Amino acid sequence: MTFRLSRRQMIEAIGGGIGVVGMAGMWSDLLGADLGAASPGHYKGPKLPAKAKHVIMLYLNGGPSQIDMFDPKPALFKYAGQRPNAVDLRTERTTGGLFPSPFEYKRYGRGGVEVSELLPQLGSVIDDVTVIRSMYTFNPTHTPGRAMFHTGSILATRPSMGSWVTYGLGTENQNLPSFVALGSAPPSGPQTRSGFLPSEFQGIGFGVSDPDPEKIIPNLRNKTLDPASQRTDLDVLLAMNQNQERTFGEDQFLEGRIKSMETAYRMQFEAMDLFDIRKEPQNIRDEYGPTAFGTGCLLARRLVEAGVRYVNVEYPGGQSWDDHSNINNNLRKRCVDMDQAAAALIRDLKRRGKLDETLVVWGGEFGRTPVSESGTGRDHNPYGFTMFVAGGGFKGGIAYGATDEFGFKAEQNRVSMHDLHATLLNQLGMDHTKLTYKYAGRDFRLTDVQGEIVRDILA
Amino acid sequence: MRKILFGSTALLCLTVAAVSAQQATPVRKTVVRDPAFTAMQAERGHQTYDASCSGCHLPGLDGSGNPTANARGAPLVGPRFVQDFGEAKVSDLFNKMKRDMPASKPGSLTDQQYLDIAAYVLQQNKFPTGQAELTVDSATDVWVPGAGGAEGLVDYTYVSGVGCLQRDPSGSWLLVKAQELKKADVTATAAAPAATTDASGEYTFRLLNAYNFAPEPHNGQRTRVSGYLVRLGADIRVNVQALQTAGASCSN
Repeated sequence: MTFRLSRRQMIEAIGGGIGVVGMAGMWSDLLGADLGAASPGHYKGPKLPAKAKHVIMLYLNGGPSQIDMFDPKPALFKYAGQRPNAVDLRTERTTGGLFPSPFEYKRYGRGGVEVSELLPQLGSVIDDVTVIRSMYTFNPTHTPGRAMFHTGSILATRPSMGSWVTYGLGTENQNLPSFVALGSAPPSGPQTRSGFLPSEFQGIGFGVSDPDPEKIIPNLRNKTLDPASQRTDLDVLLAMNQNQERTFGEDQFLEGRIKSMETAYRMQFEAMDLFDIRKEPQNIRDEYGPTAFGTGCLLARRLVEAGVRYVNVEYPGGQSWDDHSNINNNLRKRCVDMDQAAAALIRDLKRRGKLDETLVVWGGEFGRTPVSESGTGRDHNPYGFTMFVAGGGFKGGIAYGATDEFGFKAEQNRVSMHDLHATLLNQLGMDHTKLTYKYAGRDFRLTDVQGEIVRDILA
Repeated sequence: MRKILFGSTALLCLTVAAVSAQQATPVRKTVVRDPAFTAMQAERGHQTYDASCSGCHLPGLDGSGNPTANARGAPLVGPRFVQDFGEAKVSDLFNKMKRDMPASKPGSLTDQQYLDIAAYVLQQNKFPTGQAELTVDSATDVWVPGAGGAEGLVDYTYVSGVGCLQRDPSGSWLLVKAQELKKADVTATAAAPAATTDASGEYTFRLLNAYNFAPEPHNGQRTRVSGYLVRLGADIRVNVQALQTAGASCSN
């Protein structure tokens, strides 16, 4: 067992132990005044010049279609319905001939980046966006693909990038969780998982389908006990937990629960106001739109402004972007609010001077095939797809990399998920090879043994 | 040109498409003109419409498209109707009405009343009346036509057409006042000079990929557009492969 003087031990040493928990609570509050501001992280590598302090990950669960949104492929028309050798790749399901996108592309911004008619709002902010058209991964199935996207591994045990980032950088505000995940229902799994990292770095999921903060964080406000009574209760619990540790040894999961209870207690004083997007001016709410994704994006902005390190915003409805059939009609309906809210987030962050220090990342676990499935849909495509990054020291106004002439495989300047993770960590001031955690006898990384920083897209 | 489409002829198109695709790819149904409701049914629908729908959609069915009225309902006539229901089955119109309308009390009318209203809406959009009433069953076989201009051509056919090239305020390239698109020879069009013509038509086509063919010099000019046909809802689009001057300026 290692020795260290925990905050609770300090409280106990000063206050005299469990018999004087009221006094301990007082000291706890006094100490909290210091601790509530920030908590340093565990990154021990060289301090790189950090461009960003926060991450907002806009996650389109299911695999959004790059061909219909960011990667125009007019050659598909010439070979419509045919299946040349170049597209005879193994897919998850049976696929047919080449299936052109009917959507119009326009050139936007100083770089003339082509963006589909489905995304006019994102087109209007393209000068702040770096479109990466050459993403690739290797697993065509959702569950491992999602794990790869969020954790850098297809295994269902590894920590999320949000956990790695908060582990490395700590938090700016201990009155709030450092890692938050928003969705129509509280997200879980690889979107929030801390894996072998201490459980205090687990993401906290919130459902935002109703903007009422009482619905987003049910039961946060204690209706029966005032703060002083809660503090007393919590300190008794802390003392009991401490006794448990003293008797049975340090337990990182218990530590995580203790910190979660502390965070929940502290959230009472800040979170209700913060999570209430109805306090935003109406014109700002209108800009994001009245949907759950709009609420998530607006709330994400408020959270990073309050010091939350990493916010994952999942587009509502589960695997919404998994368009195996009727893709043209589905995209026309679904892109409207996604486009509006994602663009509003970028625009709003920039207006408030926060875009430079915030990484806004957009994408899904893979893309979709240029060949049809069922005649009206597209299958999963891990060989080549599009993501974008805005803010945080990226160039903006460019499209990087390219897929083949049909949009199936990434060919030029290929970017793996590890490469992207390494680049994002670099922008947060961390060397991805030095952000490690020892577990089961060896050091682990978000980027495993891979990952090259994509310097061509950095400003 | 207004036409009611029947699913039976779509089978022919599907068969044709199967030749070139290992698996079915989206194709256009062949169009067939035919009446699908009676004048008496439309008149019954008119009365029900006035009682249950006109408050939001206005007596003239122009709804929110009427700039002088503050109507809540969407227009049910003209281009907006084609946009919303073009290339859809009449049963889609029926089902939407039954599910969502009247807005104050969805589903409160009988199936027959909804069918009658659908008949009235179709009549107001100049569709022909006939001897048989629209029924729940027949509505699933009848299609509302799209904007027209490429009748009988399946998606991805190489086509050619003449009209005025125009860039709209949103930056889209359109071929307006265009004649109907015709099937063209993919090998001949690019090389041959376009025949000049002053004839103008009634159609508008959205052009995809036009920016890769230096369209600016053609802006406001009569232009022959060649490329691959594709439909999106009621919209007919052309994935441009060639632009050629085809006559005097459109302002003439």
